[in-house]
Amino acid sequence: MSGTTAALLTFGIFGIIGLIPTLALVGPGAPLLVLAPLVTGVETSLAGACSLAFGGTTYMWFWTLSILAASIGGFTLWRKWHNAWPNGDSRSREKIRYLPAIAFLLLVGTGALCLVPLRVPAVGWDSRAIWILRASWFAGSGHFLRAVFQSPGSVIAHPSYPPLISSSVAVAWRISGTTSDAIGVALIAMFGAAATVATAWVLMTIAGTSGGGQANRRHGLIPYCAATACAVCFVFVVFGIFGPFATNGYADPLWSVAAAGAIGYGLVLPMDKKSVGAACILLAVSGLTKDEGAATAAGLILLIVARTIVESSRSSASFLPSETRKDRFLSALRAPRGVQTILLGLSGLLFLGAWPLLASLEHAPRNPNTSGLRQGDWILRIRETAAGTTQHLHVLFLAIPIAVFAAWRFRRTRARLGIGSDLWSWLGLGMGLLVITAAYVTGPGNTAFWLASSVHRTTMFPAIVGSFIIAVWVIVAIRASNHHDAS
Amino acid sequence: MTMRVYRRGTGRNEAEPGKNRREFSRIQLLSRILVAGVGLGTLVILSEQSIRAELHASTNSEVAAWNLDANYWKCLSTQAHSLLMPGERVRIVETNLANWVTLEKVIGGWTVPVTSGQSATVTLQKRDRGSCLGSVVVEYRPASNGTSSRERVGSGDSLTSHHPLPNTPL
Repeated sequence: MSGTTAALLTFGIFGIIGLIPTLALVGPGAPLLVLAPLVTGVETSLAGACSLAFGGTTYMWFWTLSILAASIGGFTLWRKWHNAWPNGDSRSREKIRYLPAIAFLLLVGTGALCLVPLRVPAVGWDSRAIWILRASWFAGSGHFLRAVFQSPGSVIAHPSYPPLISSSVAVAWRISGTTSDAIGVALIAMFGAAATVATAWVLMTIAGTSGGGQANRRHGLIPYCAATACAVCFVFVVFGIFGPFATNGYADPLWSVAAAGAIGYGLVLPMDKKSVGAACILLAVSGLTKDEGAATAAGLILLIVARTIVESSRSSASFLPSETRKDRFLSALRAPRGVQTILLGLSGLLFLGAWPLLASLEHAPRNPNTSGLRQGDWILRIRETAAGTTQHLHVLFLAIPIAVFAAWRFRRTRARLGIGSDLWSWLGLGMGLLVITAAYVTGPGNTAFWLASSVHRTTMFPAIVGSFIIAVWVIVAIRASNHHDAS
Repeated sequence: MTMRVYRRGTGRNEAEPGKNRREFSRIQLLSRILVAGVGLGTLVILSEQSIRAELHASTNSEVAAWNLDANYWKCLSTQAHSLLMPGERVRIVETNLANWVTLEKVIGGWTVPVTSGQSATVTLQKRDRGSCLGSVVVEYRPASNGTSSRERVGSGDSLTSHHPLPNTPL
């Protein structure tokens, strides 16, 4: 059995294991199938953390936590059994029911096509030095894991990096019964493809949404087909941004596209339980994949909380006409839903902070990218960082004018469709840029060298979000009416 | 409370409702074509570049080059396994950073690499004249009397090729 076949088999098993908890989080629908393996990936991370904290093997903890998650998910589903799925019907009112299935198959096929380079058995520098090397740690006993985790000699493997990729590869090795780099590389690539398809599905949801259940006369075949073409192109564009790192075992594609997907579900689509559930899964994936992903995910949680409160302050009918916008915002903040949202956001931040805390308690060697002497003054470092990142963000030079013009013409269409303001997506993109700029400017060493070896990977997130913003506006323009959407 | 109901073609534009509506519709249609055309065009161009890069990256010569790379690492790993026990505390003694990193990658997953300040059961080196594309793993283990070190050279696999290893993107 080749590495890719074994990885595909394991990926399928991951999908089955993650199905019940994912169904409980996002409900029935196409994204369920691509989010389920990612949920299992999150479970392997928790298993790796438990192995480090309490001993025992990651594999043992994986099955324990998977059974626990399936039980909780099953109980949640059982409670919902007799009730209609929350907001489930508003998205499934497509005139032609088979179109979403065809669109989903096309997106999965495109994702699979983008994985053709897996026939090249390339293992990247970081993959061998960090992700697959650490997978061997998670495949061993808890005692061994702790010993290598704490050893200063392991500094090259970045022990403090979050565990999702390495623990998933370790579990995949046990499930497939084969320990090879090829399985690890293929599994990481499949995770990236799944997160990409989940993100592209946001575009199909916008194409299929009927604006909070209102009937829409123009909701027909041609706009849906055009939107499908746009989503398929988006998948290709994302893999173009990934470049060779899509299929050589790097972590950057996964965290970047998962964070972009979280923007789609949490800041673009109408806020409902399905979208929040999908956003939570993708935020967890991003945050448990790499440090940059964790910092970006934390920023996105704050934005999603802010959006929820701002939108509920606008939509609530219980306010007096004399109340100012500030009064409404404060009232929405104090309302039960506002408090609930803040608590959910805080628990998300605590979840993301748990791994760095554990790494610190276990005395993991510090990440060499965050400690050491800094070369050059701040002005020079800011200038070098700006020059370095701009080279890889040409797409933004097109996304900005498109977004400005489209917002002028079609912002009412967005409102009619019930999707979030484009400003939220730009704030999410800005958050990602802020994280990488802060890292390069305040980090150690020589910025020029550091940028040369990493900026093409760290800018994946803003480049993907820029392309996503363009794709969203394309679909909004397709869905706009010539008669009703005057801005 | 009074409710005001507006209909299209009434209110401010009552004087020339048909003309204004037609003009608005035309501008709106042009805007839609512009945004959808430019946006979709951009995505199509970027997609085409992506597909071309993918096809270029998965040629048979790339497969052969990366197979050689995989065999090189397998060769070093087999040699290291012939010398070390899993879980051993190993100190890498290398002045050449590239060699140090290579050895770290080879043994870091199944031994405990330690730094100079920590106790190690064995020290390891990579020599540039050997059987794995010109490299070999060598260990120095203290003799039973604890005074001198015994040198052992890794074995179990060898690899020769006229082709260079592929450049690994960082």
